[in-house]
Formats: sequence, C-alpha cells, structure tokens
Amino acid sequence: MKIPLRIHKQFDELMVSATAIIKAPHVRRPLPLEFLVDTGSPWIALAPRDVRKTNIPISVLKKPEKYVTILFAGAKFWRYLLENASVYLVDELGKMVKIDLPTVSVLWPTKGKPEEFDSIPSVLGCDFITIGEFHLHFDPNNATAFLGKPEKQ
Amino acid sequence: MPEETLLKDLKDYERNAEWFSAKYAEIAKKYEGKTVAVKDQRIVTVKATLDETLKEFELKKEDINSIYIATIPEKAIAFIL
Repeated sequence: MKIPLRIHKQFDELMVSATAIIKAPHVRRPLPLEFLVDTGSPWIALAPRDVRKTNIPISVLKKPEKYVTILFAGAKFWRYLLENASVYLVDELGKMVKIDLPTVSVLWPTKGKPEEFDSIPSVLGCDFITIGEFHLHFDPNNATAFLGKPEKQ
Repeated sequence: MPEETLLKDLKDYERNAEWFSAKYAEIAKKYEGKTVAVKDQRIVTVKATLDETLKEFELKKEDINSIYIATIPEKAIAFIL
C-alpha cells in the first residue's frame, strides 16, 4: 500500500508534504491539513496555524510529563497532547487509510502571538511513521515520494 | 462526520494544494507575507492574516473543509525545522 506524498518547492528546494485529517476529542473542526514530512521531528505535531483552523481549545489539553517545551523553527513552543487521535489519509487507489495514535503533539508559542508563526507548517514526524508501520520513500531526482507498507496477507 | 465526507474533503483539498504548489513561485511573488485561500483551483481570498481569512469564511458561513489556506513567508525569511 502506498500513500502518495506531494513534492513541492519552497526556498528553492524540494520538500515533501502529506494531506491528512486529525480526528480526536477536542478537535472541533476536523478538516484536511498539510503536514511537512519531517524525520527530524520525533512527533507528529500541529503548528499554531492548524490549531486555530481546527478550533482546538488549548486550555483543555494536558501537557506531557516529558519534553514540555520544544524548540521548533527557531522559536520556543509549549507542547500539549491531543489524546486518542486518528489520522486519515488517502492511498494511491483513492481509499481512506486510518492510523490511530495515542497522542498528537500540539504546539503553542511560549511568547508572542500565534499568528507570528503562521508560515510554519505542521509536521509528520517519526512516531507516525513508526506506529503506522510505514517506510518513507523520497527520491527528489525522480520526483517520487510516498509512505509505503507491505500489504497484509 | 461520515468517512465519505472526509474522503471527499481530503481529495478536494489535495487538488487545491497541488494547484497552489504548481503556481507557488508566481503566488509567493505576488502575495508575500499574506494569507491566501484556494478553492476549486483558484485563489478566492487574500488577507493580511489567517485569522482574518477564517473570520471571512465564518461570516459567509462557508465550509472551509476543502479550502487550501497558506500564509506566504516574507521573501527574505526561510525556516529550518
């Protein structure tokens, strides 16, 4: 099974993004979001712009026991947890794929206004790839990118 | 929300995202620092901020589920995550 990823150019270089919907308690407006595929991130994480798009009330979310503050794109953020989340994506055949995650990280700036960070994307990090049992393929020279996994017998 | 609706939203959104990606250089040059909304493969709104964009759709009672919304970084600024 393959989930196609979108290759796009920003800052003169190629990057890879996925489109996904997050459903979880406290996600008041589950809608498609763009996630930069980022193996430098331990977690799938929602950037402040997508927290506002999905209308997640930060005040009701818990902070984790470990790694409460993180540095991301040169700024410091609080990390909150969206628990019991499901991530929905579309595979190459146009079928829905659902991955259940114990938590999705939610980022909120420790200082400044959230709108100052609206250019910063949400990220699809290593926990998603690991729990989803995916491998990541990215070949910029041949313009191919996808998340793949063997079909179950 | 039924899964068929989620699937349709994902596919429509992806089409808008692909259109935006293909035209990124042109759009970024024109709308540096602005928030752009793409629906049915065309720009429908350009605002100074995301919050203004969301408010406009809310006032129009327009469903934003398939709309691709992006804030263009200022030209001189790149970010490394």
